[in-house]
Amino acid sequence: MSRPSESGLREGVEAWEREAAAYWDNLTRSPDFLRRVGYQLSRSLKSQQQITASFESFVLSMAGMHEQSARELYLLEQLEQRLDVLAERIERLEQTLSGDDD
Amino acid sequence: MTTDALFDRWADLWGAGMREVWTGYTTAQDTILAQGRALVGQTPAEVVHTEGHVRVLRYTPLVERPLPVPVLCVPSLINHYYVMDLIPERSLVRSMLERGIDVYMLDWGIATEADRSITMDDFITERLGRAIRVVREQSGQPAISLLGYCMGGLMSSLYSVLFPQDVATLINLAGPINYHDDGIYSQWTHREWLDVDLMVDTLGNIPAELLNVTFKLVRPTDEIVRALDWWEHRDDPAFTRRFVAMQLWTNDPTPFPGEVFRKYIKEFYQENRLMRGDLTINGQAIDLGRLMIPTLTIAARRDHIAPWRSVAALHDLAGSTDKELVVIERGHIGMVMGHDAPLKLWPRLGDWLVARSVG
Repeated sequence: MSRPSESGLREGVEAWEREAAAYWDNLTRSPDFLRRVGYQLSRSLKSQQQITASFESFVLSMAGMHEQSARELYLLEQLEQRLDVLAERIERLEQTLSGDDD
Repeated sequence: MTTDALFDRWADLWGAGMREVWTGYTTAQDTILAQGRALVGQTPAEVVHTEGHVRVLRYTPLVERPLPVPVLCVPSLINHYYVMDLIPERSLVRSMLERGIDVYMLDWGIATEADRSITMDDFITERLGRAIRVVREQSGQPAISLLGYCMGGLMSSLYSVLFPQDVATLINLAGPINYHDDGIYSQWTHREWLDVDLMVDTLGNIPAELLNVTFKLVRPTDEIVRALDWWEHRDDPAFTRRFVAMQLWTNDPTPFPGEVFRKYIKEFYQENRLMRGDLTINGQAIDLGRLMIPTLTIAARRDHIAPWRSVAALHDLAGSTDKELVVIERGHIGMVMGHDAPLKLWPRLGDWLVARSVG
């Protein structure tokens, strides 16, 4: 199996890593850099809050709509039952009236 | 060195072999982590206390008559406990057992949504307090030793100030005390750019993935050297064992309970209240000068997470006459489980503890 690091790669990588790490450390301690990162982080978090709030509002409105539909269905069922009762009464009344004719 | 120059040199290294190294390393990541899970935390132990996902383990003694005063290991709240029992040849726990110490471990478990509103005060006085009570009852000792690592060192120190009657000796292993230091986290958590309330109010518990990325961002290029280490030794089974276990631990944080994070960042990092003397836990003021029990403070000179001076502050402030400071020439993790931990850390810690575990 080839071992590229045996050919001096390690020395090069370690030297590069030290310089890159020092550059990064310097960059990430800079107040200007941190202010910008902090600003972006806050914006992301606020966006997440808005998305969560929108989602919750949607879920609540769906629940409200569902509740409204359920209420309407209940009223329709009530109406249907009353109509059934009324139809029975009419039928009985018709039977009574036709009996009187006889 | 400019950014362009760094990229140019990286391109040269990529062409000279790093492409093969990095591709092999990243392709093997899943395997590395899966192998690690089977290796870590293998020292035999029994669970002596469970409270939700919090557990207390008692390790099986390696001697017939362990020393009377047991030690309870308290890891960081956001890392798995097995850092102190990584693999048999890199196990601080095992080294203490071999010296006849009766060793217990607090496993905080993985914080869930239910832990979001548990405060730091409760974690210290309630959860840690109950674990200590269990160990005291199990051992029959009125007071036990505490060995806290990283944030566990801070929490153990605070508990020892509040309830000195429960604690025989305290070891603070890389637990930060002074948060206004030159450490990178002190910079990153400054109130001018980190809105901790917004974070906790939005996220609840701080996700483990976010913590993992944050830890890596301290020195992201470190991963490249690690890849090279792995590549060069990938046919060496002993190296691979240690490597995969370490890789697992460093990639395996647990969520930070939301309210604990709020207090930790605000009152410790941003306001440095512990050093200013106006920190309270459950309404009680914390004065480290009241720490009169034997105290061992161990710091790592190359620690990027808990800078050694920040840790050493406990030694400076503790009121105890029996106190000692040890500074080890390693980093935060290497000091506990690095190749020279069995030579540098474990004997000093073990000798100190054995001398104070006789009851």
